[in-house]
Amino acid sequence: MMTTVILRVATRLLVPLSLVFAMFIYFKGHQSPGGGFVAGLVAALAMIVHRMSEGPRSLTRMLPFTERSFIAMGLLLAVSTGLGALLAGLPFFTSEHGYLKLPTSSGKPLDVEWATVMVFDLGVFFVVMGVVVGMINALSRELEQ
Amino acid sequence: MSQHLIVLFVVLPMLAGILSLFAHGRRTLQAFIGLVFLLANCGVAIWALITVCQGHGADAGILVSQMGNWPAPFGITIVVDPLSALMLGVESVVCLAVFIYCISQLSDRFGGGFFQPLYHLLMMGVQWSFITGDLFNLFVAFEIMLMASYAMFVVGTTPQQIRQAYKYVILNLIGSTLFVTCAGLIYGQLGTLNMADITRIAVSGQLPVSSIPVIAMLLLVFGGKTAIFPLWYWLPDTYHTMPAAVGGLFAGLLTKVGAYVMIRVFVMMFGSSQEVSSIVAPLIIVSAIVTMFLGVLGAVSMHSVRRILSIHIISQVGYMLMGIGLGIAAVSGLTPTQTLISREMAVAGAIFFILHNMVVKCCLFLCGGLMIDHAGSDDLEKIGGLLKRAPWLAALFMIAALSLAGLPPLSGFFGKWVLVKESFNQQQYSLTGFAVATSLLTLLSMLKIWSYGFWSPPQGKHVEHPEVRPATAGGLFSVALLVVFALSMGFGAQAYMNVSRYAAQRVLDPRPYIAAVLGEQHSPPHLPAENTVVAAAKLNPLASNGEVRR
Repeated sequence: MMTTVILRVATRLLVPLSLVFAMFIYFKGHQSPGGGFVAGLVAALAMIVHRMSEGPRSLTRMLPFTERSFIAMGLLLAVSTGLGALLAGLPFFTSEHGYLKLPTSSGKPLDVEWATVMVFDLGVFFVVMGVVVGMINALSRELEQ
Repeated sequence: MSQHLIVLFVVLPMLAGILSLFAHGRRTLQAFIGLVFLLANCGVAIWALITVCQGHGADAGILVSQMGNWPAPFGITIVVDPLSALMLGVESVVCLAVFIYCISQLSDRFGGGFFQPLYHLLMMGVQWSFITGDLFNLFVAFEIMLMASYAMFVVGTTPQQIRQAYKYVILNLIGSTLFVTCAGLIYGQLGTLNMADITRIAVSGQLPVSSIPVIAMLLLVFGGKTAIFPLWYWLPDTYHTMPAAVGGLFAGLLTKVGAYVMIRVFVMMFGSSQEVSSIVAPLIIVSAIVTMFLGVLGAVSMHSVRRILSIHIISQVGYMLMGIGLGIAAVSGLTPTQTLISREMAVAGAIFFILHNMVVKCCLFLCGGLMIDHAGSDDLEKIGGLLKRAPWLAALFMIAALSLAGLPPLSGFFGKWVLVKESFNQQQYSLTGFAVATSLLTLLSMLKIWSYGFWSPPQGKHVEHPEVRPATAGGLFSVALLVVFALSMGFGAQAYMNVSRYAAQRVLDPRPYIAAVLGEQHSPPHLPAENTVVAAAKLNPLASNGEVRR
């Protein structure tokens, strides 16, 4: 744990910025480079930076549940994407996509593409984040003792 | 369409793993989740087996689902054909029995709350490799299986275990690297990794010459997993270090997955290609002889229950190899029809033997575990008198042991009988001789455990084993479940053999498989003359009762 003023100030800026950037990568990833895996890594980095400056307790307080639950939830999301198709009588993992028309101020609706794969990708995001944060947490706990 | 439900073989264990990960720290809840999902899995396996056996006409008893609805050679295909269905049926029961053993025997020290999630993930890998329809997914399934097994290997964490696990991890990493390299090279040569598509290329005789060494190299990959002759060295030292429950699961499933894959690849995919068979078959047959005989000699020389059983795994693999080898070897002195029937019976014998071995081997390992609980050690020099102390265990062990040795009314006999008979028919007399000798020595080593462990007067002091609870009803129940299953395979051998033969027909004549996966228009117009006889055979094992179909 480093408690220099520079790092603590920088962290306050970096963490929210990285999280927003992670969301950006996640949404961008459907058609172009990016996606849940990379977004998960970026989000995990934000957590690690937070841990470096504020300490492990603060990280535990920041995360809504344990890393283990993140992994389990991510896997559950990923599987349930496939199960939805199975319930509809289609092969596992058959995906569906479409367009959402969002109202804008100019009056011309904005087309936003959605796809069921995004739920799968969200699962990947959670798993990657859970694994990376969990591993680094466990390893640094060993070192700090 | 109900055939998309075959993906449940992957999804159910995965869901069980996820849910028991959520229930981390609450063992009873985890055990409950596990039991529910394993029972459901058994149900799906029985459904699949019945559907596959009743199949005729269009779907031809082969269930196919294309993941994400992408068409076959491009997407991920999962297939349940009679061979897969048989494997899944037996494997799901074995997994259930071992799970009951685990939750009744293993204390909290074993892997903390992660033991049960790992168990389900291991099972997911095993089942996935049974249903996968392309080589790359086979690799992925192997990896999942191995990842889980690495973690389960060190459960209990004695220094000895860690040392052996290190070897196991390194060897398997090398194996996996080789596998993925081979897969890449095959993709480069053939432009596809879909098993049905590769089979189509092989059957129509368009296999490029340069791909043949790569295919032969696959023998090295699967041979390592199956622990065949030159690649077995990792097995005897590793399996006996694990807790009996984990050892039983690994012994029952992991090497058998390798044997299953060898049937799938060398018999179904490349069995029709003379070039591949002429390289692979002699290697397999020589390896079968050495594997079974040296394995059993090792077992006879050992003095600890778990070590004897571990080395026996190798020896038994020899019989499976024997069936596979006889299924693809060049035959002299038989008419084409006789050759075909002989091959079919040999492969059916190998399939039957794999099924029998999954159940019996696992059962013996669990018996070994219960023996340790009762006697505090598995060194035959130190234990004895278990016949009085645990009469039920003694009875169950005896049945399983005689079944492994292959005494007539029990399951081991029928598999060996068919294999020995076919080796004789195909004039592979050395194979016949060694198979019979191995069988006798197997009996000898099993009787050694029996007479030292159960029959002789107690020796030394009764020591409490520090890491496991004393034997419970659950432990005995799981062993009994497996013994009953093994007995059913012995007394109902005709039924099991019929279905195995049906599976062997489907493997030796892959055209229905190709048609089911790729669609009718892709099936090759005609096969080499020797393969067409099977096509004319009536393919419904449930309808015909016992008579030889040809």
